[in-house]
Amino acid sequence: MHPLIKIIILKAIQSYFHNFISPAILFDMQALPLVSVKNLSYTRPQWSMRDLSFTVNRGECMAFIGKNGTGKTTTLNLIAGLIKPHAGHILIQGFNIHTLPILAKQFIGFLPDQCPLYFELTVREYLGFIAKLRQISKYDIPEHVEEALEKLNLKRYQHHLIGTLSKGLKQRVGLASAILHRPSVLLLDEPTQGLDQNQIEDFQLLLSQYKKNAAIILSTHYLNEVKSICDHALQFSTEEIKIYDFNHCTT
Amino acid sequence: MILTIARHEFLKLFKTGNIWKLLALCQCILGLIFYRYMTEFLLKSQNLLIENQLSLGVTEEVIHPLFAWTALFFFFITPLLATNCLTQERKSRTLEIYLSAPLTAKKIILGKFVGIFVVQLFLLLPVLLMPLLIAVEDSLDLGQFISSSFGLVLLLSANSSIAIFIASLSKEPLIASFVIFITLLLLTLLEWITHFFSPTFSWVTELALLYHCKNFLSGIINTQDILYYALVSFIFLRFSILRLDKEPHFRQKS
Repeated sequence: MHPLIKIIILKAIQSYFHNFISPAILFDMQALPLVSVKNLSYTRPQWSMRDLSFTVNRGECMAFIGKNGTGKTTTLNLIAGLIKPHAGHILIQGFNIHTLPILAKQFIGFLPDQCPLYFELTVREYLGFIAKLRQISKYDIPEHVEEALEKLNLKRYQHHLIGTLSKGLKQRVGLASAILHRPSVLLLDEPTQGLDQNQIEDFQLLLSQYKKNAAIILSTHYLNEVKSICDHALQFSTEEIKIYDFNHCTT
Repeated sequence: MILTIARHEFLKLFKTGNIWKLLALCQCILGLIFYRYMTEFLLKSQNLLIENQLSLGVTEEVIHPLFAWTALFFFFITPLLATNCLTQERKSRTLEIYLSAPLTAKKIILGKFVGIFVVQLFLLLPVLLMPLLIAVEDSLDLGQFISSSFGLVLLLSANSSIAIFIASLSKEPLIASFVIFITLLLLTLLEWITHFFSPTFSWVTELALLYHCKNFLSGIINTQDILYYALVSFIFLRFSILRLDKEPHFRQKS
């Protein structure tokens, strides 16, 4: 089908039925890369990024590595649709994040570098609220919340106020909220920040299980993390961006 | 979705306990104003009774000024609520929860608007109950009371939409609160400022926020006034939606 016709149909779906029908039912979405970045350009006073292109398929994990201030977080924010690029486009499961944001964002789970949490809510209340924002049906919310609590070992703390939790636990709550709606694209900005060694290992195990049915992009400073779960890595620096493919040992 | 966000905004204030502080402040100040006007009214009525003259209407003498003060009092409350739900969220980065979710800017803004509007109605409710205490002993002009209450509700809606728009522009809650307060005050002062200029600018008076509340407080429900408040609410909510829609553009500049 011609891409233009596809977009017109998808626009109509977005306008009228996006709460009820997933476009994946209509088109063969399995064949599409989950994240496709094409000719992405973005300029900041300290650095500029030109014509960045890459894809992340289902079952793959990509790491963004590099020094602070080289554009890792900005690129993640661009993919999450929080910032608009100066040129190029980002497709999430075939949907452009900036022209069809409502459709594209349904597939994304995003954990920013500073976990956005409501400290006055309990863990369960917070996850319940996020589930509603993610438009999970109210009958499925308890199941999704239970699953997220179990995966992140947060059951013990479900009735605790978020404000009273330690930094590591807060990070886990943030991660639980990112995977709550079972997204096919997971964007994580320094997810292991503040976690102890055991928690990092648990987290890596969780990600390697989650990766089977999803695409993961994570920004990190830890090379161990990159080696253990990632298939590709983008190394950011002020001069250039290098892509490493660990499966085929190429640069 | 709008109700989910509104409910969250409402409950958030209960969870932090701030709503009770606001309610206590509201009751304390407006209760004192009510008491002052009530004692003044009783003294006046006593004097008039001694002089064998007709007594004054309690609605005009007590309820009218009480509601006028209430309208002014909410100029302090609305900025706090609006900045708490938008500017503070931007500062603490919890706004990203909404921005990364599959939600339109319209739903987010309307949810926040309904949230702070309901909170203000909750704060207004005990104030509306004060005049009803008079109704137990004296005859209250129910028509004027209802129109005054309706006018206050419309004013709060207009205030909230202006406040949300300004809050959507700023990153600093304190500055946003101050700017909202000054804006609401200036929009009220327009009524008096125009007295110093030539009569050709008399139409500016009609843009004043409280100018359109006067009819309601006197017991007159005028469609022109309803339209004014509805338009102000709509226009500023529309601006806020446009601003939030452009959030990715603004973020790239920061």
